[in-house]
Amino acid sequence: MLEKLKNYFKSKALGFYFTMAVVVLSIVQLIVYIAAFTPVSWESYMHWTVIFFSVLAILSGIGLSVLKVTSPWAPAVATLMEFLSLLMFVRYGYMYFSQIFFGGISISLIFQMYYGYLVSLILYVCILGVGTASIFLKQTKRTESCKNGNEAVAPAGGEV
Amino acid sequence: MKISQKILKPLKLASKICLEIFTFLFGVMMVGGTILLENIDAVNTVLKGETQTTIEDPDAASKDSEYFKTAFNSVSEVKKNGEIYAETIVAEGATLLKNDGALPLAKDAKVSLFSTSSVDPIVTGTGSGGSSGSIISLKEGLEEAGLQVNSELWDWYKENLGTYGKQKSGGTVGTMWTIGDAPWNQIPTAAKTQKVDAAVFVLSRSGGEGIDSTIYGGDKSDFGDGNYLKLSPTERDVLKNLKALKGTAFDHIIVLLNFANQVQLDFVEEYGVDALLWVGNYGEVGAYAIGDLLAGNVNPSGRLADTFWREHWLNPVHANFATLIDTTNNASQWNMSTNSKSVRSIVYQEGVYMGYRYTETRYEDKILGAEKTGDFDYSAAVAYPFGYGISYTDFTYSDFKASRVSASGKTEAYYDVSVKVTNTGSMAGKEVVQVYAQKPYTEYDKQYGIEKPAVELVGFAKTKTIKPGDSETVNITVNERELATYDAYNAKTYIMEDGRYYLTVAKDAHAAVNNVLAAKEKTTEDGMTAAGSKNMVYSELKQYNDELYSHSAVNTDVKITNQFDDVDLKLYEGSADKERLVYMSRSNWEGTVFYGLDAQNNRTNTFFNVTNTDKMQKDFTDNWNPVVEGNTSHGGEYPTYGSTKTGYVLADMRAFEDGTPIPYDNPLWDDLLDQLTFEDTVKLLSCGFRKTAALSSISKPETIDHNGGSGPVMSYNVGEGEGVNRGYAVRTEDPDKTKKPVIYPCNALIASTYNLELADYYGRQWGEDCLWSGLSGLYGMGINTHRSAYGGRNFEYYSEDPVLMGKIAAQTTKGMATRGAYVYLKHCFLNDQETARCGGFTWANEQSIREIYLKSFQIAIEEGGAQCVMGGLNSLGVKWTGTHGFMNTVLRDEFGMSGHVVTDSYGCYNGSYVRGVLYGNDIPDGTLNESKENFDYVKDGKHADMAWAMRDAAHRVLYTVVQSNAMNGITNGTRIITYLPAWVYTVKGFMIATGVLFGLSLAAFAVSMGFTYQEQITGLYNKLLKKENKVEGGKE
Repeated sequence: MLEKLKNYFKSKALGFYFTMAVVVLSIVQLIVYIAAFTPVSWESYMHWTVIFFSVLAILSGIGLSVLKVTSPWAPAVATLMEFLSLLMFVRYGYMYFSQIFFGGISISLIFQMYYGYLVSLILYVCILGVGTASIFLKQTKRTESCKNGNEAVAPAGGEV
Repeated sequence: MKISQKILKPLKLASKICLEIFTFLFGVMMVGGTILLENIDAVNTVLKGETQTTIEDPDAASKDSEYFKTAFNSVSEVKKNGEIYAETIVAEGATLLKNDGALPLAKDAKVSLFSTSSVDPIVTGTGSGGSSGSIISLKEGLEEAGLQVNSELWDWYKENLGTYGKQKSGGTVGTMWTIGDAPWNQIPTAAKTQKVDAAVFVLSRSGGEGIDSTIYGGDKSDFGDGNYLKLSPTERDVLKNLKALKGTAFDHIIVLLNFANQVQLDFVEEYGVDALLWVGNYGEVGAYAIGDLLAGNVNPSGRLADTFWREHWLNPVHANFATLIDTTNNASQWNMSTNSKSVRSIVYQEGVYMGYRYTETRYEDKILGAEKTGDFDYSAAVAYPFGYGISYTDFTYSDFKASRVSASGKTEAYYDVSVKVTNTGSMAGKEVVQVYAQKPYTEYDKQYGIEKPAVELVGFAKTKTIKPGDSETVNITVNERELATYDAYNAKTYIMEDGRYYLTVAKDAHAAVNNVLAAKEKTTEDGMTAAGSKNMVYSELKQYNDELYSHSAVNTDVKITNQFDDVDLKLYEGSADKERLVYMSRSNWEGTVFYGLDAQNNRTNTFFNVTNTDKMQKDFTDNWNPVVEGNTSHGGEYPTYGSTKTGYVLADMRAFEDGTPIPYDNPLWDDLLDQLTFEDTVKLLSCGFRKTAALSSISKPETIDHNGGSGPVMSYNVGEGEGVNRGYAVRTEDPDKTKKPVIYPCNALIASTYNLELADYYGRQWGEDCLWSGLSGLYGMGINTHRSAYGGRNFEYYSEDPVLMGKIAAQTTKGMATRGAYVYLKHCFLNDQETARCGGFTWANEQSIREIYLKSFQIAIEEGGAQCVMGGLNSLGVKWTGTHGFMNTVLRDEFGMSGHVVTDSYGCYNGSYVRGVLYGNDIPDGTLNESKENFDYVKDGKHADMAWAMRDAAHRVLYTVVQSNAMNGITNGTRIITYLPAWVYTVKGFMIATGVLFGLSLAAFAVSMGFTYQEQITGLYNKLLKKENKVEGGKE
């Protein structure tokens, strides 16, 4: 079993680990979002679609990565879902920005932002950055047979 | 079809990149576009897209539709007049506090101006009430008055301003300042020791919206002990060296106090200051007035609108003020953040003892030998009392008379107070006569938690210019109602108590209490700081009466009773602190006075820590709910919508044929309101971002309502391009239409004039600015209270005293109304600090609310006819001001306010705007965020209470607008057509375009993937075929 797992990870390329980073960051983001926006004074900025797309990102990141045939799709789908989550985050939280920056934007105000917004935004930027890089990276290594000249099955959305 | 790998690979890459880009753009456009379209009105205010067209009345020529006419012909004329008033306000409001023979200067005297502030003074505040533009420098002002200025020193300061001047940081709101200033050893010796007649040191501090002055924890390298409103070490060093030069380089040291946030005056004797002149934030042209005052061309006649403290730490309001309230405690209790909207509690634990009401009362008790007075040294706390100010001449009072005039008809009883003022000096000047009252402090008060300040200002007047040797008799009317006290815990209304009441005329609050003490046979031998004059005191005995003033002064059928039990932790049913909370009481100064700082500027953490309860949480949460249940109004019947029985337009509601204004409650209004559709009502109540919305159906024009806590600040063409501006500047295509009104001085300066006539004319000038710039409503005046010198927006507010503030604001309101401009008195109320203003829970007892914090609003509404207010961002108790209910029960029912209420910045408070409509809050300062809250639920036919509240709100908005200058040029034949601005279509176009591009790139990607699969499947097929052939071959 351990051997199988070893082999499994051996077969994974750098892109796979980037995708996993997306998943981990998405989980952190989800926890931060729920923790930050559950209190009464913040719940008006919370919306289920943000959580929904974030959960989809996590599930698709893990689920699609498991199978070799679907793994090339994992970063794209996970990143897309996180992007949609970010859009919903902005869509339902922009009033906060208009409030805190209604006198103008400044660096000091950015650092005075509610941690839920600041940390979420930083995490979203990281997720989208890592996710975009992952899309352009290989998820799996070429097998020995490929090296020997056999045609590898490169499913849709895979390496270019 | 087969494509080679050479083509397929780049095609796939390109389609993938395109897909990523257009997915991103499409997503951004969909969300961004939705946000923009959700906030069309707010965005349009910035983009200035045209939203309405006015089709002129064909018979316009035969009708006079200039309902409010200007007295000027051009922007330059209006602005010039503004400059005259702005200068006059400084000339009459600047207050001379000390003069040991230094002033006035000789006509051709030469002065050296010290401090970087001399070349970079503070003329206004920051935030929405601030303005900007070039100003008249002090050098120009002084030279214009005939004085000479040490140019070498001036030039050096100018050249080195970047190195040593004050620096600001933060946004337009929340601006923070350093003190800066040039160290003495850096100033060139030749410049600073040049032989002149006087050294003038300019001591400046700024203030503004969004942040209070730093009282604790500031940068010690700049602020000394971290307190912004003390002299900095650099300033002290400069003053010390000036003192050393006195007698050689110059004979006198004059300090100009250039601030609306008062620096504590503990340095005056230490540094040998000969003259002290407070000039406030003196505006664009105030330097001319300062020159005239220093040169003696104008005799100072200003009187302080605030107590000037010698030591701020001795002001007990700071126990519960701004950052001296623990920044985390309440928030952690509530498990909420304090960064955006606050849940921090601010307890007005001092009750009515704020400012001079504290210092003078404790002083009187000390002199009278009252028990538990504690350790109190009046002179250590107070540098100059409220109302204080001297001039270059002397005035004496004589022939004081006061008599009660009984009620007659609708006129309530009042006192006629008169005094003869004689100029016994050698220069013509004006004097301010102040009338103070003292009410008896009784056993009943002690039993029921009523407090009585030793003296309270109840009336004032300013004389005309009195020549030396001449006299003027000043008459002042004081309503007897002013002597009533609010009893929140027993009678729950205003009462007149058993005991002796005093009225006295005096030159300041301290002199007033000394007069009363003199009437009580006290002398300097009893410890009085100065002798009083019992000849200036009237007294009479009264008997308990809880009926006489228990009704509204303007709506006599409205009984006044407690409306703020939920704001008082002793009465609020959700309070767990009823016993623990102790308000300041003169029956026990020792046990009830707390200081937020010690003498070394360390925090003492004496703030009252409110206990959180489930009831508070529930009330707080309810206050967020936009859905207000209730279907009982009008028997559950909804108002009529979209009626076509009548075809009125708004202009029909302006006046009857004889020109008499149509009253608010005339049945004609019902017909017009019936014509409104539900959507019309929603539009009117959803869009209030510096305006009231236009309605095509009744040809209601859009108005421009804009910032101006201490005077209009927007350019004369503010609404140009939106199709809504009927201001003269745009209509006449004035070449100066892009200019701004003059930068007006801070409001404390107009208060310090104590000149009601001037306030009226000042209001007319603001009204002219509004007429020319097309402003119908002004988000001002700011009439919150100077509870502390550290209040960020003190430059927009007038005074610590509600009577002075209210009466000045009332006159200014009246003046503005002559030009058809309505005011939004702000920020109603208990919004006296910036820290935690966005939703902070403010707690106060009803006596202090009614006798101080709401009283300025009451006077401006009752006496000045102010139509509108802006609600505070703060909460009253745990309910946002907009959902509390006092706007209907108190502002309208008791005070008689006829117009509408706008929120402060939409959403920056703890509550639901939609819910607020039921409680009398009518429009948002913003655009309703419909995804968060909307009026849709009202359409279900089960919320009649809300439906009628919406109609009432619409009625109030329409009534305010129809009586304003917004109707200038509009008759009942004019039609207003509204439409969406052009940029809206652009946004929609972009949304569609990015959608199409996204679709195309998706299709391209799919096609490229199709080819890839085809390749792979073919490859796989070939491989399998090869394998099969191999196997078959083997068999062979």
